[in-house]
Amino acid sequence: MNHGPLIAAGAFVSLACSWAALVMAPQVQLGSLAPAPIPNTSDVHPANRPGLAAQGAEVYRSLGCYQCHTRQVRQDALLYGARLVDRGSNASTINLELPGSGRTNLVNFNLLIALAKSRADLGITPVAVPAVLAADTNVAPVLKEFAAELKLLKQFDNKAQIVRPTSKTVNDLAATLPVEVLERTGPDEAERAVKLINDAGGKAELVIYNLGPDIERGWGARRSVARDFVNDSPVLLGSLRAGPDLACLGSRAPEKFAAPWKFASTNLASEMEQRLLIHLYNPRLVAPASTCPSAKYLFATKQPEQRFAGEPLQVPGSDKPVYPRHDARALVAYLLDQRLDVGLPEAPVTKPSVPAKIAAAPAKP
Amino acid sequence: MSKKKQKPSPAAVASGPQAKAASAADSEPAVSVASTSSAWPFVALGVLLFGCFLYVENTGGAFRADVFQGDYKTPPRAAAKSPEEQLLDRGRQVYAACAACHQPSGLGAPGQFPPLAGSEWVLHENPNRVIRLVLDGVGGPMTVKGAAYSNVMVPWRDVLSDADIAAVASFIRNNGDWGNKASFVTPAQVKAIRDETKDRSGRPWTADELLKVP
Amino acid sequence: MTAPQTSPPAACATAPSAVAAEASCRLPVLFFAFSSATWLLFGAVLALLSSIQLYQPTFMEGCPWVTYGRLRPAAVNSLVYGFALQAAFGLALWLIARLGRVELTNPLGLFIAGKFWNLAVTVGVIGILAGDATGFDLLEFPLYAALPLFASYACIGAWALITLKARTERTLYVSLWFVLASLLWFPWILSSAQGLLLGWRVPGVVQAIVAGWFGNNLLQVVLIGMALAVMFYFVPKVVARPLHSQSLAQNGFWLLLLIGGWTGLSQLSAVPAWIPAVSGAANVLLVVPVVVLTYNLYRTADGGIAEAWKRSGVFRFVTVAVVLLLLVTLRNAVFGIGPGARYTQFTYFAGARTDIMVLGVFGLAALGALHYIVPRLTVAQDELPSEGLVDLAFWASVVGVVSVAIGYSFAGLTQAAVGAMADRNFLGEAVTGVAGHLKLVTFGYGAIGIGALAFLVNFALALRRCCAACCGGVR
Repeated sequence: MNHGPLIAAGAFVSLACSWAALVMAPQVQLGSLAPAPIPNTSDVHPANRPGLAAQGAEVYRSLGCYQCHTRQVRQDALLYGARLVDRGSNASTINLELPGSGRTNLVNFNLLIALAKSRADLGITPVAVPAVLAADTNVAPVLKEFAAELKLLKQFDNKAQIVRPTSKTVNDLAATLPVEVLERTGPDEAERAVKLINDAGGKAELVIYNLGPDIERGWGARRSVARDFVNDSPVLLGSLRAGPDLACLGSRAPEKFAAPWKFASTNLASEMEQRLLIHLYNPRLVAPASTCPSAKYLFATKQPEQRFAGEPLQVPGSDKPVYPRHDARALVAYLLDQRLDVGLPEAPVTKPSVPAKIAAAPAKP
Repeated sequence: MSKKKQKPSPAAVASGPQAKAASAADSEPAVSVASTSSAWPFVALGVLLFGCFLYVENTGGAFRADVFQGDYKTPPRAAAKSPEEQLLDRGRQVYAACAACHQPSGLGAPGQFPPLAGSEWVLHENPNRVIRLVLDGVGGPMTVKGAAYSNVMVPWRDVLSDADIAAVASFIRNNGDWGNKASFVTPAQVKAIRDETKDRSGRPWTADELLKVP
Repeated sequence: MTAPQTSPPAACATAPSAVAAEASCRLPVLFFAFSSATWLLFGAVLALLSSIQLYQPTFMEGCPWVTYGRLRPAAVNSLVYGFALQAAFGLALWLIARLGRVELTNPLGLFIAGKFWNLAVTVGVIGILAGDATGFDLLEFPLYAALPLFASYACIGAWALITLKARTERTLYVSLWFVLASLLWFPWILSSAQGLLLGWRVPGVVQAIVAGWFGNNLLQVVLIGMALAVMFYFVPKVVARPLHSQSLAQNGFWLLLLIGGWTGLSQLSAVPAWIPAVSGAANVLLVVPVVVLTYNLYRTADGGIAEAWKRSGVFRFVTVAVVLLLLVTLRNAVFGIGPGARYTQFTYFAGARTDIMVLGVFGLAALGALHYIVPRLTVAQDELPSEGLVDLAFWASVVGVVSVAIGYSFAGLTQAAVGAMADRNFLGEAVTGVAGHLKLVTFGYGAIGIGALAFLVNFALALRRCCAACCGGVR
């Protein structure tokens, strides 16, 4: 080890190894990432920033906001579920019309079996069919087949040592739609349940659960991935959360902010813009516990000459309005442009199910 | 590793406490002559390296660029599509049969097959005309987007189901690539028109007849 | 390599004595020592002011030049480029001259290049305060300051390497391996990173990866390497024993170079999962070379540590630096993988790594070395004039570094606990709840500043004595 050139060569090789692995390989993998098209629209995500927001990115960098804020949502786990959307019908469906209800009540027996196969923790009870209907030549074979399937299911349960309770049944589960048949399981079980239900004539869809404290806090619907930042230069990811995360600020609900408020007006976008401007002016007015430095220098106290300076800002606690400068508006436009609510192939999102208007189900199917 | 012979620095050879004090200032640290190489660093490195391989195997997402969840080896399966998206996907598949004449771009062939992109027949406010077109075909002279066509389109009544016709009609009416945006078509609408026109027995429509349909 | 290492008589005759080699170092090394200590004081003051803003946001508010988002990168970059790298250059030059028994090539040129380095760092810091920061951690200097920085390093590095090549003592002692590796590593990573981030820009998150790779290499290989060079020089020298094992030194050196460049990216998010996984694994692997190197130093000094501690100020600095190196490596290993990394991600705990490495491991080692080098070059003694100030510098620096480390770590753990549970109030608990810990950090930076000031006063005393002795009071 007395040769300088030998040490130099060795150092070069060592550096080349880490360079190849941590600089070149990521560039090869991520260098050609492009925004992904959003299905059924002509939009892409991430979209190009409009001009004011692009200028706002420069203000964000210049003021050093990335020193205290991150723009990345984290996720701990990605789990799957199956959601039953429609009970559907097929050959083994009978029409249980209750007298006097005037409503058609389709009972899909295959669906009940499929649900029972998907949920070993729920019982299954045969549906009470009035005798006159049970004697119908169309209905009798369906009931016979259902009884046979039930028997097979019981045999399977005995072999697998599954004991089904009688208090909670799949009949109750399928009473109101849409309903999550499986929640937070692995992809295979969820897909199996979806397939079983679809084959039984019903309609089920695979849903995705993005789990993690950031997401539960309402800071985003999914994790941030590399594609979300292809349009950003410098990328300004941030590495410290002295202040809350800003990745989804533009699409966050008022109650999910670190300093939540009740949405008061009819125009959420303009209300958020006002609130962010006041936050820039003096964060303590919006969030008394905040340690964000105030950016008063982005506001003018005298009305500026330009006609397109925009509306003055009424600051609570002071009767004189202040006039946000261009940088203030640009920064707020940039912050409101931060959205992460679109799914991507590498980070899918499922919209939460909205429970349908419950048409009173006269009898459980 | 070879043993190193210690090179005596000139100042360190001096003996005696005085010389030692003087040489302490001038002497450079040297390496012990008696040092032997040992293997324990490499053993420790080997053990840790094995652990590291296991760790990267389990949390490294298979070294893929599209896996961000460490314990997965492939990107997550696609989430459920909305019913509209599923209908459009199905319509795209059915359209493959139509693309032979109307082209995947929806532009058709000038003078031969009329375009579907931007076509007023496709984008009419209700789908009644387009459903009839697909069910029973069309023949004779027809003006599409200002150009005259005179050709025959085969009927698809017996080939496509209600769901398929609804899917393909929705697709051509909503294809973003073609710039089309109109209402979706439901299988119920197709079934209603199918029943209504079942007496035509496969006679293709003419442009004039279609124009009379509201 | 096994032949007797007697140099030919001719070279022996022309080898300069230690005194002559040191005399040639006087101008550039003293300049680097003085300016690095000044930047340490300045950086510590900036860091102190910015840390006050973390819990007292109305402090210095209203002026965009001193908003936290500009003050903090100015502080960190002045500490790294102004203090750490200049101290590294000074130490490198002195070690090459002493261990290679050679006079420095072109001391005046080195001095002028050092002046340009200082000018570039000053322009860079002012640029950051003006809002031109690039947005990349540890590479925040705008392009108009970064290019002169690189140019002046090119001169310094070239002359240092020429001096090394011209050495009369052909055996390369362990310290010179680290010096050579650091001198070469720095321009390679700097040019790579600046080229990929400021020149031909890589897209999206690859920028974050490249910036992280650069920062980690700068800390883990360049600065820690220079700190190890100092440790491997002073520990055997002060205890007056030879280094315990050559092979362990070689193994540790090569493993540090191979593994050190891969660490540090374990808490990146929004990147494919393999990058933090691989980097976290490297964090754990790095324990091996660091343990090997510190074990070597321990066996060298074993039995004489207490006596050397009492006798030599340098040894005290260096010993604490060795202990801190071991501790920070273990800390990075434990909190670099798996649940530990996820828990402390985006907290002050993770950010403290830079402070502990720059100010703790490298800062203490360099300050200790300067406490030996400056008196040697000025008054030709082993100790600075005022022993009280040496003690003050030592204790203030150690207390400062430990306070900063503990303050940031506990603040980070508090933040992590809030971040891990979605129902905990972010503003109430993670922001106002860490104010107490951050006050400890402010105190720590203040203590570091006092330590730097103590060294500077000592330096001035030594200079005054040197000028009085050399020039008889006439200048």
